[in-house]
Amino acid sequence: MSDIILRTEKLCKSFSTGGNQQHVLKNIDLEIRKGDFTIIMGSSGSGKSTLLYALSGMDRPSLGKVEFQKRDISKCTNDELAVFRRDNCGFVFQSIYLLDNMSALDNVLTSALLKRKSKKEVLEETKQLLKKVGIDENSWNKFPSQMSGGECQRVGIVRALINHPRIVFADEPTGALNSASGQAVLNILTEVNREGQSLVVVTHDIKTAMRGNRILYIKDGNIRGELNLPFYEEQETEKRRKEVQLFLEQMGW
Amino acid sequence: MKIWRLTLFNLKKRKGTSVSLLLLIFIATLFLCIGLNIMTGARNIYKINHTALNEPDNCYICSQSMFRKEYYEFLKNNELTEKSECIRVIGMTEGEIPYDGGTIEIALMFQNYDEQGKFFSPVFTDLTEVSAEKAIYAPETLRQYGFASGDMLTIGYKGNQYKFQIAGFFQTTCFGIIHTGGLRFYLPQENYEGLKQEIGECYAMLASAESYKNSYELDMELKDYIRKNADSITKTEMVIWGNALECEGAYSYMGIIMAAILLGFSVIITIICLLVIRFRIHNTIETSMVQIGTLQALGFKAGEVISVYVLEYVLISTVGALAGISANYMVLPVFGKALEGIYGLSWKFFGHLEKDVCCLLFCILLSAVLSFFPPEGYIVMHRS
Repeated sequence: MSDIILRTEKLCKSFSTGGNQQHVLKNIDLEIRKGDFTIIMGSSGSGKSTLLYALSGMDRPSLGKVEFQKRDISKCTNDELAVFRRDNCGFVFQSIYLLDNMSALDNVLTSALLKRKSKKEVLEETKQLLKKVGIDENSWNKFPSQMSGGECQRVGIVRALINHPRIVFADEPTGALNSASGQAVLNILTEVNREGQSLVVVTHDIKTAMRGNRILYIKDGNIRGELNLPFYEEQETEKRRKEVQLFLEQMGW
Repeated sequence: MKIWRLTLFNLKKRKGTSVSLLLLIFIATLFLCIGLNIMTGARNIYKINHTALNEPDNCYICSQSMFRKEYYEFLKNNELTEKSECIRVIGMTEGEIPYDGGTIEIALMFQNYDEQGKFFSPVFTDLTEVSAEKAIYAPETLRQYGFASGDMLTIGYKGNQYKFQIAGFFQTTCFGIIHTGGLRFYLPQENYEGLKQEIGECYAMLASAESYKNSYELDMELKDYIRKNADSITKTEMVIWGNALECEGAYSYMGIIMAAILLGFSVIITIICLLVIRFRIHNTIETSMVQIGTLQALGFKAGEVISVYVLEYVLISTVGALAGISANYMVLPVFGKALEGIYGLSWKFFGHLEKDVCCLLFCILLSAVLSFFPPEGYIVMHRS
């Protein structure tokens, strides 16, 4: 059994809207294992993204605990959370959110130089990673407005990986991409997971869900079901798709 | 380092607006520095020249009918007096000097060029060969009325016209500009004697005190003494008189007006800069919320993100202020030349490092405080 790197205990998150309390997450107990490709699935408004942000330290829970390697991050100050994210987490967003005043290379370096002082040290690694995800030398100095959505998302993945985070959180990483670009992104995520990177991905897309070895289904603010699968192999896609589809149907998706 | 990096990227992105703000700050600082330099220089120009030219702090031109030896004795023996002298000069209470634009109506004093006393070490410039019987040496201030060396100068007094030819100019802090109420001239011995025959001579009581404040007190005491001791038929009014404190004010007047105008412009432009910075910060934060959120997600602390934006404006202010302070050194001589024309005195500018540093720090602090004090965006950032 892999090490548990992230754990929640009776995690609750509520929002006040116009004087009313909206309870989005209700008493979630959950464990994320090292090396897993964890998928969080659910219908729109089920609390997937809220759960992701609570797990990653982007948001603070209303009640309950979030423990990252036995450290309770729910009690941290904003600055402590910023340092926690810097040291342990990588993020991939649906809207990508590359900094538009910087080239692809500089976007990655901005993240890299948060942890490391020497540009020389990280530059080579950045270039290698960009090549690995299919961003060639000609595109390194391009700005986000000059790149396709798929290229931007791949740069976003490199930005998330450059500091060797303990865990990468991705919120609908293929949501803004076409089919081909989305497939390329999923292939990259699968490959890095194979190399040992822990991933937590929120999605409502079955193709993305199939890449995970653990699917958690969230409904009405709580985890309603879990499906454990072997790690993804391309040759077993059809079998896997059926399994995932059946699980989701059972969950009422 | 990471903050500097992000700041430079932001500046590159907003090049156009950054340059326009930098220009505004440059102009505001330039006007501020020039204004301050002229303000302080306006008084120093008088002091420096007054000492260098060995001129008296107190000067009283009395007609023969008015003068009493006791007045001079009072002045000479007064405890405030450091040095004194009584010389003979020619005085005109209501002289007239016509020039191209009008006529100067003012009291005039003529000294013998060939006689040297304890006071007055004039430096003559622009000397020109003219006929000896017409030669006159005029104060520098007459240049601004269109006079040049070799020009004819007509002086009117009590219906008579006295024609001279300017043989040169000299600088003086003693009746050197019309704001002091009088103008002083030098005549060569021959001309002096000729004019003396026609008009007669006056007595000039001259004195120096330890400070300008003392010269003013001495002035009050002498006038008080004269008022109390003059008999009923003796006039108590002098041809012209002056003390260094009041002369300094008269000389400084134009420079201070000039400085005040420049400082006024500087204040207006500074207020505009402040409003621009405030507006731009607000606007930038609003349009950069996504960028701010991304930076926070990557692991930047809220304070670090705020620093990026504050540093942007601090950098612009620093560069603008430095450029303004440097340009001030280049532009100041132009104002100096203008003031020389007005004062009729040499105006040397001495750099003031402390003032420059204060200007720079003031600009930096103002932009840092203004860009730091949280617009709504910062508050949202902190809360998130």
